Amino acid sequence: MTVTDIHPRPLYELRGVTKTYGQGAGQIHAVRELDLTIDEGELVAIAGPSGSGKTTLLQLLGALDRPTNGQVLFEGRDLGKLADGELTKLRAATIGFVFQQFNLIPTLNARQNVEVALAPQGLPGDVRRSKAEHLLASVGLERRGDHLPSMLSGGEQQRVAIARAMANEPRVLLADEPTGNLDSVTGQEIMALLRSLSLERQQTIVVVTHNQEIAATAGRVVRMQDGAIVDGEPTVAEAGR
Amino acid sequence: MFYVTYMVSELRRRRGRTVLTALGLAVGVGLVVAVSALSTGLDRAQAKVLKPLTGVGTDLSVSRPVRFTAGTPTGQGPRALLRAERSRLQQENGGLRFGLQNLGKPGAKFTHDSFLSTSQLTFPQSEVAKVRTISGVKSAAGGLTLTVLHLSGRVPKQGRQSRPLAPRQNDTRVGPPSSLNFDSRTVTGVDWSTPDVAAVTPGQIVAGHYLESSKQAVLNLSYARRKNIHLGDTISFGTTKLHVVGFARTPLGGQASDVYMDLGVLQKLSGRSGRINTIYVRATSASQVGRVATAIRTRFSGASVTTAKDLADRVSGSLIDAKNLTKKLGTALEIVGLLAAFLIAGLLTLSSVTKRIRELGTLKALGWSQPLVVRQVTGESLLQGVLGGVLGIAVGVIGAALISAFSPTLRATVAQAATQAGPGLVGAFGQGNVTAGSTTVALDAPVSIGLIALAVGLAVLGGLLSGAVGALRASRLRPADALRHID
Repeated sequence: MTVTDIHPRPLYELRGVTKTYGQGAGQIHAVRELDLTIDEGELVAIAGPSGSGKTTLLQLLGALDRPTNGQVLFEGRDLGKLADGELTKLRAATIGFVFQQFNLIPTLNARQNVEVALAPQGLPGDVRRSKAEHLLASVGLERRGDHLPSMLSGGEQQRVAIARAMANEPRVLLADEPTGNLDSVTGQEIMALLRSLSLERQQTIVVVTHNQEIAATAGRVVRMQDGAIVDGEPTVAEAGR
Repeated sequence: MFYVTYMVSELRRRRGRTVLTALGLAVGVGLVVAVSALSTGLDRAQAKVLKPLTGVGTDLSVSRPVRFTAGTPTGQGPRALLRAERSRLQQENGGLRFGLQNLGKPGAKFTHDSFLSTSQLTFPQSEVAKVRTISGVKSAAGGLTLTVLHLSGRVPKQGRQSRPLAPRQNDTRVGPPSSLNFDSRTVTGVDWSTPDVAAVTPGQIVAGHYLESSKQAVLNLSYARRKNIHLGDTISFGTTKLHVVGFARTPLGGQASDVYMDLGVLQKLSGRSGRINTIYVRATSASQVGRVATAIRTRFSGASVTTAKDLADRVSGSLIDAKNLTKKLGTALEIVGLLAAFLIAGLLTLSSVTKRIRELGTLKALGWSQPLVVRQVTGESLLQGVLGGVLGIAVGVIGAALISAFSPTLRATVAQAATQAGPGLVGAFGQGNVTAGSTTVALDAPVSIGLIALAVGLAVLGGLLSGAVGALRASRLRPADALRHID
């Protein structure tokens, strides 16, 4: 009799990861001695108060930074040992980012903001535009493509940012306080959108939040304090999934 | 195309900064365009003034000036004629002493012409052939320029002491008796069979025509006016009469004689058959002039070689002052202006990049490679540079147009060269006087295609340099730090 292993394989493995900023007396340990595993397809919330190291952890997962000590393994590859160019390729092909401040380019309209993520692929202009419009439609903004960010509401701007993050069909979506600048209703809508997209595309989502309600909707909550993980248990939502 | 759209949208967003950067570059580039156009205008004005100097019919003239002692040890005191040179000059001029009583009976009318060499000695005409053999010489011809002292009046009564007609050293009793009329004029004998190398050329004739026979004379226009001589009149040298067939205008700085006549006739009249005191030489090309001059100085001991450039160097006045000012201050102004423009553009680009750190960090997070981010920043600066270039060309062209519209008048002056022999004697170029005086020329500031291309090139360079400053900053950004940056 053959036993099939139904446990998903780990996408991320963090082993003793420490990130330190500054030197000497001014040295700050943003995260210290982190051990964490994130499986493919998981929806993980990283919760904790301000300054607990959530964003630093997200940046390490997003290959935006290298750990001072320890290893961040992505599919077994140590991100700390990859060259800048390899990290750029990894980000372009595998990781999508959503930011609290949306980080849209104010002079480009919604469609062009999505095209920003598609531009490095070197697609023909019409293909790139068509793909951007399709992505905007998938977040419910099919009629807002020509609007500048300043003409959109906070929720709409974040939808554009999500469409941009999805542009390269990433396997991982990293969201840093995606509802931080939104009212609670809009925040819930954004989280619902993220969840549905992740289920539809079988993406791994890591959401940084200090909002307990938002965190509760994730499959697992990793709670941080003073740069360390204090709890990483599955949530009720995950248990009922 | 997307990248260009992004660049343009960024420049529009930072409109004030873009305009400021472009204006900074425009001022620098405009300054270069205007000053360069002004410099070209001055070059043209200078060429306009100097062209006649190089068109006097010769590239070089060779003469044999008399030599003087060195004077005081500092070289600034009075100088004396060397004894051997004085002897040669006296021999040349035949002593200049004659008794008026020998000109006729007392009370009888007389005229007498003395042909004098003053500061130049004559030499055999055969030297011309030797000069022609020098490599780089296209053609050469001889000329003879003398000062003619014309004496007329009545023979004084017996008992009055005769006086020398030419100055002698330490002799204060100079000049003719008061009852005599005295006149002097410079006369040049021209080999008119080779008019392109001669003291006067057909191009200088402003009325009448050039010499066509040995019985004709061409007069300097100002001399003719002064003496009220007209075309068709006759001028006399002793019993020899010449028909005035043309008037010549001597260019500023050119060689000037009062009368131009056939060389052979003048040689005969002056008792200097087969002798000349100037060789006019035309080189095969401008680049050969220096070499030919050196060869002549080497082969002909004591020869003085004057080139057209020597004359050009004697031009002064506001034109030359402006030219020198443009050359020195204008160049400095261009360099300082451009450096300031580049510095402003660089600082503004750096400031702009600093303000966009989070945006650039976002691009890196979205998978933009470092070269792509650098290209974006540099491209924006380049566009600013092109904009600055266009504005700069406009500024420069308007500046140049204003200069041309006002067309300020500049003066070029040629001073009479101080002769070695002292005042009253003829000049250094060849044997005749050098035309002294002033001329004015209107200034313009032409803008050429090459100048516009230079302006665009400088603006693009400014854009690239400022872009490089910004790109260096952008390339050093670590994505995590950039995203943490608070705008």
